[in-house]
Amino acid sequence: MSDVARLTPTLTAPRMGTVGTAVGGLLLLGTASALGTGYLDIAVRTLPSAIIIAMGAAALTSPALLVAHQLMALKAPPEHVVAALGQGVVRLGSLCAGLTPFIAFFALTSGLAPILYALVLVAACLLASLSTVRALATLEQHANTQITAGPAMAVLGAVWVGLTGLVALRLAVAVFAAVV
Amino acid sequence: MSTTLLSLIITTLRSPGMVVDDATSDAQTAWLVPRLLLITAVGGAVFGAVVGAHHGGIQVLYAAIKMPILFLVPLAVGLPAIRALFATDDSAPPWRRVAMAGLVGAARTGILAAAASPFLWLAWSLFRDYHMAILVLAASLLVIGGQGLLTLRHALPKFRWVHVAPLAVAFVLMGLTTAQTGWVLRPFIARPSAQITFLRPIEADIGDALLRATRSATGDYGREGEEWAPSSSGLMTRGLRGRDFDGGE
Amino acid sequence: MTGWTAPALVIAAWLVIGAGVGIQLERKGHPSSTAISALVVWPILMSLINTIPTATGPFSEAIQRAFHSLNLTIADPLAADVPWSGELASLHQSLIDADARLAMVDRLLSESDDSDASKGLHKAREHAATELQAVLAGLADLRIQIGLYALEGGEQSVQAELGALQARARALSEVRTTRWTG
Repeated sequence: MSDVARLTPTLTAPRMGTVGTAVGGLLLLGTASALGTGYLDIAVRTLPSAIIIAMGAAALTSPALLVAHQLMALKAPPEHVVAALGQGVVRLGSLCAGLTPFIAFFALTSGLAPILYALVLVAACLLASLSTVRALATLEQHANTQITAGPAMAVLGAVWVGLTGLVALRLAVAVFAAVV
Repeated sequence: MSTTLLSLIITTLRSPGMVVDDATSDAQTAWLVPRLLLITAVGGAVFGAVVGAHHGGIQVLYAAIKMPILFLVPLAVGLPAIRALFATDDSAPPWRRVAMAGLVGAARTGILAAAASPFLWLAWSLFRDYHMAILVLAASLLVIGGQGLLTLRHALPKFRWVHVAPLAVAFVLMGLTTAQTGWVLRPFIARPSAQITFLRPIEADIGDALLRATRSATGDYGREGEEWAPSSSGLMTRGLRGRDFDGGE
Repeated sequence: MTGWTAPALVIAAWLVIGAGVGIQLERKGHPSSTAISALVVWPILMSLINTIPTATGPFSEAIQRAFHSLNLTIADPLAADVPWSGELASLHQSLIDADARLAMVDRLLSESDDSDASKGLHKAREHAATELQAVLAGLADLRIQIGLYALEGGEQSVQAELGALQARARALSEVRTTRWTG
């Protein structure tokens, strides 16, 4: 083992204000997409769709990740894992906020908004998931002396992202059916 | 640091990163912004006038007015997304730096467009066909705009492999936005038989239009007697409108 | 025109916000060109509303010219490894500050009579202006030192030259501080 003290990443759970901003970002993206529907009732139902799909999938599958993490006897403290998941949600929210003008532009000038909305939401979820898995792997690597700990967490994270994606897809189908 | 318009043009072409670096102070930003806008407007107007010359008449003026807008709108739409894409968990590229990089990119595009104008004018005498002219214009904008887009790298974090995915998304976003802006602001090259208007109604979208232009350029005009009509909206609305016309469900 | 109502509203809102930002900038004393630009690119210029533009002094163009030449020299790949360590920005700021003080003194002198106090201020102004010009001349020498460095090496001479210039620029503000603090 090296004598040099390793740096432990300072990971804290995002504050409520930050999470609120993230939710705001998801709501903004939904609002921009709603502009493109052309009908008030559909627009109202479209508004919270990003929140329902993204936050719903995260809320439904995060406990499974924590359970698997403990089951595999990985060393990172559970509260740090929760914090990393929280940061992932915040990252997703800020990404969605940044993508809002893009969707709003297409909603105002074309009929492509619903398709682009779906694509953008998938892309944002993937990017935020990648960043979360990276953060989780780094976290495990720093909490563990075994060199294989990081990759083990990365594999667990990747499987979790895949399953979360499927749950999000299922939610999206339900939301689409409810909206249309 | 640039002190005259000419030196700003030279620096924008030679080392655009230096212009972006210069805009850290408020005073320098206040000096740079109007000049970069002027360069974009003049360069874009010259290019637009040449594009409009394909049809001639009032279209020269219309295209000259609209071309600088085509260079600037994608910045307003795409830059917030690019900034968000390259944000890390605890920091994002400074907003002013991203915006200035975009503006420098637009000015660079404007200069290159003005410089490329004579060659486009030459191309018009070679390709009189309307559909071919549209494809030539799209290709020129791709080359010129690509140079402007590359300027944005001066505002982004140093390249690492994890940036490949955000970079790909950023390129797709900017490409789509520019193409759609061009479609919304059409006509730049008016049909020979068309009645000239400054803007057309908003209908269909750029994907539909490019597909049609490519087919027409290759001589595929569809079935005889079949006239192409732009679809009025996208997936969700089109379906719902159909439902409404049927009396609802 | 079909479909243009919503985009037209967004464009109108953009222009209204831009006009508001432009008016604020104009009131704060920013140039008209900057205020007009706000119509189009107000998100960039909005942050300038809270800043008061620095007065342009009698040497502002000379300062900009000197630093433009110096930046072009630094941008040359042959001078890429010149030891900088970021001192140039603070030197630039010191000169801008000194120039702004000269502008203020010039305004005061143009409004005052021929009293002894005015003569004293005029003398101090001339001294500060001479010092500022000396630093600008030193910047030209610094470019030559960079050229020598690119050919023969010897980073100490470049750093020594830069250090001397910084000391002179600092002295410009220290004299002022001494006077104000008595």
